[in-house]
Amino acid sequence: MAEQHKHPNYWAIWAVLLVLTILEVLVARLPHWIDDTRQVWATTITVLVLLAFVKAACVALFFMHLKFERKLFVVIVCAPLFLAAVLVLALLPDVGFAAGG
Amino acid sequence: MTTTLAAVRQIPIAETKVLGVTHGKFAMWLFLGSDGMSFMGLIATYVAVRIGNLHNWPRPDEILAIPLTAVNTFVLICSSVTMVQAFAGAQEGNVAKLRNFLLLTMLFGSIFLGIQVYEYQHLILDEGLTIRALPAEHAAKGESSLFASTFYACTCFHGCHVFSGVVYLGLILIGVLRGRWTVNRIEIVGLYWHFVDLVWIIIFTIIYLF
Repeated sequence: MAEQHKHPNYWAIWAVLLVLTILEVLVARLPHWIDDTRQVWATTITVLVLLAFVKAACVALFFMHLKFERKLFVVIVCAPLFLAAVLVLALLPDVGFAAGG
Repeated sequence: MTTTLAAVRQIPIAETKVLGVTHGKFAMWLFLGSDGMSFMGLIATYVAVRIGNLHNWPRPDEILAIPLTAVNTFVLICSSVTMVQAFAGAQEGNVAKLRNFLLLTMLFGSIFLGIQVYEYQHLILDEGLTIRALPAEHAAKGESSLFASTFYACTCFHGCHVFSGVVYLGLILIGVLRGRWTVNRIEIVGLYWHFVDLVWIIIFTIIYLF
């Protein structure tokens, strides 16, 4: 499959990843600049997770060529993502909440 | 369309296709799926332990050097784009481009490892962040030393992957220099390398920035 599609512009993806990384580092400073409250922290973490997700998706879709693979193949290789989410949620009641954080 | 057994046998096993990708590539993806689960085990532990210690978790940016690690993240992203250029070179049949970009990728990977070793050395010797203890002023505040162990577990596991990746790239590069390489092989080593970059993006965000 990979041989048949045109190259995406790899340098453009690189620039996007670079800009998003700088943005991430700046966003992480927000609670220090604005206010060290729970609300600001919640917003910061949400934005950081979204940025990381976009970056990871860029790498997977363009550098790893997932965008150009068959749908069924993409479903198979993305299945562990669901399991990963289950893993975090499964650990939370035991370690996370039991300790009374 | 019927294919005779003899015709099938002429295709090397690693190049036969399943779901539109070669067996070798499919196997690498399966490995990455399971490897991703190993990483996720460590990252999930970090997240769960951190939520369990919300009020006595040290602020990562007070212990870790974020700008240095941001540079390291940049290095790894650069290594990803050089890897993909090497793959483009392989597709074009441009051996010089393939060789040079493979070398550059190895160089960036080595720089990443060098900075990580420097970071560890600084953390252990200057800051006092060892695998079981926080720096003294943080320990005095009663903060959880679980930060130290989970931090080293995640980043070191990733560092080992980068090291393996550099060795893997070196083996592929030897193949290229001896004229023994295929586009498929370059694509597979690329997948591994990009995966390591992808995991770093997650680790950097979750451990360094939160």
